[in-house]
Amino acid sequence: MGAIFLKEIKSFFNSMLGYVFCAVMIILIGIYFYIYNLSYGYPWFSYSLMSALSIMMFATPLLTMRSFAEERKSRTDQMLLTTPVRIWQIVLGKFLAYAVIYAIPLLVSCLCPLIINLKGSTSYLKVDYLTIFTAFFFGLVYISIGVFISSLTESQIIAAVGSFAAVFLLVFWSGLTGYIPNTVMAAHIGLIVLLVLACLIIYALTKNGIIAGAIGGAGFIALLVVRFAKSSLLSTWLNAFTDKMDLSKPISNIAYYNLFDISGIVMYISIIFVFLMLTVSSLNKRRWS
Amino acid sequence: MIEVKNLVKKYGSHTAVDNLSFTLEPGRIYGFLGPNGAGKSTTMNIITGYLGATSGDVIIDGHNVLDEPEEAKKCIGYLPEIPPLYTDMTVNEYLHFAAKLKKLPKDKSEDFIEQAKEMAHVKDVEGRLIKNLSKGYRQRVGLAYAVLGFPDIIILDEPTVGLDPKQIIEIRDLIKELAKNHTVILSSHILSEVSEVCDYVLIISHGRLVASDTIDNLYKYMGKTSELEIQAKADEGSFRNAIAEVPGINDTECKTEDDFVKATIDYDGKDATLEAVFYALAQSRIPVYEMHKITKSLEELFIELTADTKEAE
Repeated sequence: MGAIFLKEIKSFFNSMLGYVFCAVMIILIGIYFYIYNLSYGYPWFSYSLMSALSIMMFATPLLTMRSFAEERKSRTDQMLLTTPVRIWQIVLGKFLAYAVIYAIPLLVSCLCPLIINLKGSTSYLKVDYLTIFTAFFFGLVYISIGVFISSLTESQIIAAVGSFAAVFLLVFWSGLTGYIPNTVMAAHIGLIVLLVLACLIIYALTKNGIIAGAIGGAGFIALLVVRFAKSSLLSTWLNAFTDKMDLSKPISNIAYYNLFDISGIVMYISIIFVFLMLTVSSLNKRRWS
Repeated sequence: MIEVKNLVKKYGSHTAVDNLSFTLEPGRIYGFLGPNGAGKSTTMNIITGYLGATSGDVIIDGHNVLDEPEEAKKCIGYLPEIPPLYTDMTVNEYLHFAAKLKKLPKDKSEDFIEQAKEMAHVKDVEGRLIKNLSKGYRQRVGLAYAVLGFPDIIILDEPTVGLDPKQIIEIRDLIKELAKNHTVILSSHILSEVSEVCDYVLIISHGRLVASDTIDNLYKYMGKTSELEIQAKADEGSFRNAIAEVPGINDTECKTEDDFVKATIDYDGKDATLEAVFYALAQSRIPVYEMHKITKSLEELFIELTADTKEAE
């Protein structure tokens, strides 16, 4: 695992990609910091960071598109998979390397709250640092999704476009889900779609059609029962789900409302875990098909 | 030692490897032969754990590739068809990375890397980026990776592709050298290479094992009567008359070209018959310009064996 981790970091700084990523992130954070905090004298750095983080939509694919697509294309995956290294070690080694590279601009941005503190009388160090802390996990969620998408294809371009689309969807999630019609029928259909997705994921992870089918069937019947017994529950559930899946919520809670959302961080970590697991199983599946 | 039991690999409805079973003893060089798409690379990929089999087992030095992948993979050095090289690394960086992946003991890995570089003759390019190396050198770096740490079993998929004749000879010598302490499996479509290097040949066709034996035994399998080719200065009639009385001749085919007759004689394979033909022609005062035995080459054997299975289907 250590070898793969080091190799990834080295190859990032050999190929300029690492420098480009760090430079773009730092420049954007710097611009927002200059405008919001230094020019307008706004005491919260968290606002600037939140605005700068929108660049992750473009920066994530930059970081993750190569991860597995390139290995597959150049056949180096044959080396990784025929040496005594476990697949989860390969995935984790790569993911940790991206995490370290992503942490570099965030570490640099740790200076900004201090600069505000030096210049002005009011500063909110605790909120600012907790925002940076949350932003770290927030970015890792995007990265884990990017790694997973890269493991599905051998084309870096498809991987990049795919991760861009996925991150785009997440960024505009709350805006998009606002357009779901507020009827029982729509809620029912929405929940069935989610159920099918969940069953597919279970199937991908366990390779057990019976378990996935049984859960799907049971869920389907349960939804039907609920629809005729208490139909209002359906839209409540769908709303609760879309609300929970709004990944930007924990980070905006701390940045805008000064609420440190531990459950949100736990959710980030769980999503990261799920996508890394999916990456492992997608690599595994390729060997068997 | 490698034991392959009832190996099956299906890609959708296409069966790439069909119930393959064999056992490979240590200290030998095995040649994997087969036409394109016969399942050679697939079989090698399954043995090395890169691909999973649809059914069947591969047991390497007592470790099942499926149940104990780490132990099994530690015994194998593998050079795939396309060498798995990180082109943005130098040769040294690459081999150090490979040593870590192979989990070689840290105190010995320097020595192993030096030995591998010497064996594969890549010492003079050790500091260069792999992307700047020629195909032949890349192949050798791949070979250095395969032999790194001297695993018990070394599997080479078409190791001489892209090399010049001198390098091919070097690599053949290297393979023979390795075989003193290791089991070497190599696949090749160059038959002369297999017949020169390998002790033992496995011929695969349509995912099935059609022959597995030493090269000498394979020739014996053919069981065909021998053939003799003669070019002599005579017309067909007198030539046929001259050898008509020789015992041991089954059949004679003649072709006339200008003053010469070119005959292919199917005989019983005994040296006495050869001599009798010679003396018979000499007695009839027919000058012989050329006379040689035709031995079946591995090519013909190969075509014959792989064609048989097609007919059987």
